[in-house]
Amino acid sequence: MPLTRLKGGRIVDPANGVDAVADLCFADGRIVAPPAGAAAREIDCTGMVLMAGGIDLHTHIGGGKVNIARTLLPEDHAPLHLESDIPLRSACGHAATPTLAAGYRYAQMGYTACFEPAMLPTNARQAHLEMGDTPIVDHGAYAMLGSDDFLLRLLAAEAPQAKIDDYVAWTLSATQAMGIKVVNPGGISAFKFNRRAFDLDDAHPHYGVTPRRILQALARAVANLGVPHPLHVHASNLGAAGNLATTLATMAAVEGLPLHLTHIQFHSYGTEGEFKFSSGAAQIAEAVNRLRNVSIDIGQIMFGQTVTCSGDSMAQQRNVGHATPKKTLLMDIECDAGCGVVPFRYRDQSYVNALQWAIGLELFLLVEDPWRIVLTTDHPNGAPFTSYPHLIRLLCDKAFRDEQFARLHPAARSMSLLPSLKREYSLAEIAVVTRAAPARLLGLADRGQLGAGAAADIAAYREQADREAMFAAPAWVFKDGVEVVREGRIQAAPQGATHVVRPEYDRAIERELAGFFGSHMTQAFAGFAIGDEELCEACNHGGRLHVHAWCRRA
Amino acid sequence: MNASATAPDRFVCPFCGLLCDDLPFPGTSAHLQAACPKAAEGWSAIRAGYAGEGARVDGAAVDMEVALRAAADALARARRPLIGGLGGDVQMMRAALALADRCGARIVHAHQAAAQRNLFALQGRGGVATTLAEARNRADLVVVVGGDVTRRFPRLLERLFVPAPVFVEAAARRLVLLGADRLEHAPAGVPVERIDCGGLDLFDAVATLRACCDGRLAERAAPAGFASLAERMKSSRYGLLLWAAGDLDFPGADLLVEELQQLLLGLNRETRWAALPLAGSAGDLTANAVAAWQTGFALPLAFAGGEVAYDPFPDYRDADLLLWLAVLPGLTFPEAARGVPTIAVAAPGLEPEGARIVMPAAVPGVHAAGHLVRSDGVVTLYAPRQDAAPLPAAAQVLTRILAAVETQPCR
Repeated sequence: MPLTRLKGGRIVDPANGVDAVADLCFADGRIVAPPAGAAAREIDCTGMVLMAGGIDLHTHIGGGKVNIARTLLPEDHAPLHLESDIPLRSACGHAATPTLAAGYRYAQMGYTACFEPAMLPTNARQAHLEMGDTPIVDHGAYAMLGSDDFLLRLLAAEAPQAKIDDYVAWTLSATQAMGIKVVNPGGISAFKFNRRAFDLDDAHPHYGVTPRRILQALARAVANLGVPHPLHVHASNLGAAGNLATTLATMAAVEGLPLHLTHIQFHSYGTEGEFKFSSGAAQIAEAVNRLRNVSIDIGQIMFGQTVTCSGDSMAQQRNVGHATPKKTLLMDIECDAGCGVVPFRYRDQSYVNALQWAIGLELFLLVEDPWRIVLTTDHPNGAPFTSYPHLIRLLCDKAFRDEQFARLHPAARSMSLLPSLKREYSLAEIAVVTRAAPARLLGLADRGQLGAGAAADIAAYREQADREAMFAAPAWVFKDGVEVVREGRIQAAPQGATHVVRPEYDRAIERELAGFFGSHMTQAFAGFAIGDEELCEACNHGGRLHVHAWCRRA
Repeated sequence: MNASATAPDRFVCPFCGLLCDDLPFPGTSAHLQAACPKAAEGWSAIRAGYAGEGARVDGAAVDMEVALRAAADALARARRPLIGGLGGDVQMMRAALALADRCGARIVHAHQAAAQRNLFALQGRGGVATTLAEARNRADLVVVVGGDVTRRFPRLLERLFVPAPVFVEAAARRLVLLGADRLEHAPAGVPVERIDCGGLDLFDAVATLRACCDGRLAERAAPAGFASLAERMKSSRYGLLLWAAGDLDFPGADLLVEELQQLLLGLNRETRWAALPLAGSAGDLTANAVAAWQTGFALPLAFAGGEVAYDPFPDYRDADLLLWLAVLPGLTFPEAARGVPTIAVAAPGLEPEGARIVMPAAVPGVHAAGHLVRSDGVVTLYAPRQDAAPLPAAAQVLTRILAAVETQPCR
């Protein structure tokens, strides 16, 4: 590809400490230092803000529970009339966004990479097939462990950490994953034994192990293997009033190991006040500010219809009565995990929902280090990802935030410190929480930044005081140097790459796994792992495979 | 060709939704008969001894290229094309959706009516489901509702009951039939009881059972055995409901499934119960899964003017062209489609009668590798290629038709 020069834009690239008007050049899909002389293509970016492509490190874009959610809610899918200068596939959708719509809409917002956070190993093939049908954006997934019978057996037998490391590494490799997630550690399994709640130090009804032990073993394994993304944790007691104590204990449980607490808004609740439901944002933010090993994403809620789809079948069983519309699907899955799909309508006149909204924003504003916080709505659980521009405005614009706050349930207003928080995010801070921080937390060295050598994933936003309008429709989006969006119109729909990690491991674990498949499972071990050729087919033979190879530390 | 696709030592049987991968690759159907009559039936249907038949147009053998072009011409000219059958793998379905989108076609699986019994119930009130391994390892009480589920899934109970369960005593497991008289393929060693419905039809029987479980019905108001069954269900630690939607062939069957799912949701307030979905034969789950992830909607769909819409009750008689896709056996050609000009992409042996254009294609898991979705809807298996027959994958054929259509002015 010949040289392209984006002229005269304001480059906001916090990873490289840049916030200045300058030219940005790229060739062959990579950023290059601006050479002297004319480029083959020059684009006037005067008045625009140039950022690296957005990276969503927690968005449910592919896999069984998302597909159940899509199927469950045909009434929620409206046709999307996507502006385009090329023939696109017909797309529709809203909350549980179908793959085609997700790829197109993310790109239209300037996002160029999305990570599915909850890939069940037994459902990994489907997750990759779905991500393969998600155009334009790079993708990857975190394999879900922690309620799987193999790990729980290892822990019950007090297996050495090295063996757990081998199992985790095998899982990453066999399922072509980018990281490891744990959801309600042990709790999804405990629900299969009819436990309805499972706190950090409760003993599993069959294996006897505690969530604390599961967390420690997995966090240790991820660190030992050198997987760049810390253990991705959906903590115990999701959504329960008073769960902030569990969340604080979870942070302490890993004893300084890297830890990413996801959709922390749903885990930041106290029990104060008339309704015994209050904001724990101040305590959670204080802990995050203090503990440098902890990173978070928010899982902001927005008002309106959505659908919650979670691996946490135990928590979702508690939510059956809140389903709107009144339908729920719960599932136990294959010695592996489970899921629960509950449609939900967040209302600003609901005390609890209004406070959830405020808690998310309080966390955004109280956590001081933007490099350890990532902007998410836990799509679609808090809201569809298409609400990100609105969320960005809420963070950048105190007056706008106050207007929205004034509409909330009055009791919720009286229980929130949001009006006292004067902070407004700068553009550089927005660039951190939507690109640079997730890239760093995922170990994507050449993404989320615009230095020479980085991938030419670039979004050019026309600078506007209304940050919602600004971030909703970038003037230009480039993916690996290919112009994919111009003035909101899609120009190309290339296949994104799949990102995986492959730590080495002792293959002896496979003999034990083969035995486990014989005694517990219903498919042959020999056919379980997803090979590179198969992954290539899953990605329509179009994408690339980015193997982030790490060797086990000594 | 994919390296793993040629591994000859692993056979994933594509002939019913259970996708068993513990059977030997059949050399002959007799070889399979003992292991599984459904697999043997499928094996016979695909005429495994592929004799090298090529493409045909109006009964005459032609080069594949000629047939592809003729198919593309017909699709480009059709005003109301319909893509049907859909017995195939993920890649076939991806290509079929792309083609339907380009041609403004309706698209429907041949067994949509059966799939919709479960689908409408799900979309109405939801439910509780489990997968084969959980069922195998946990179920202490299994209630089979409606017909004999083992006729469609002969190895179901073998796969559930023969391996030693992990979380329940093998001897403690019980199997109860509600509606069926007997099971054709029951495993030895598991006691089977039959509950007489006392003259109630199946819907009333299930509603009565649910009322008993909820404590809404006096014992004397229910047929004998219902109250004690309800008690046993409530005291079961992990119960399993089984039904095959294909067997529930009567009007309003989705309401029966909804009642079953409400029964499950009610039982889960106190203990654990789930349904093990029985479907996936002839690619119905595969087709619906791909449609749902690409468009948001399960089948049937209608594409028109750059929009896709859920089209729950398409009429084959409205179509002026049918593109019939059948590389898995077991599809029933719809009576309403007789007389509609038909193009087929079909495995040898699975061509519909009277198709004007026939393009042979590979059976996934036999002549080509392919992804198939198992009955429980969670596990997707990659079925490796077994046989070196020079047949293209259905997806390849459809992609070439699409490429040929793109060179034509579509309506």
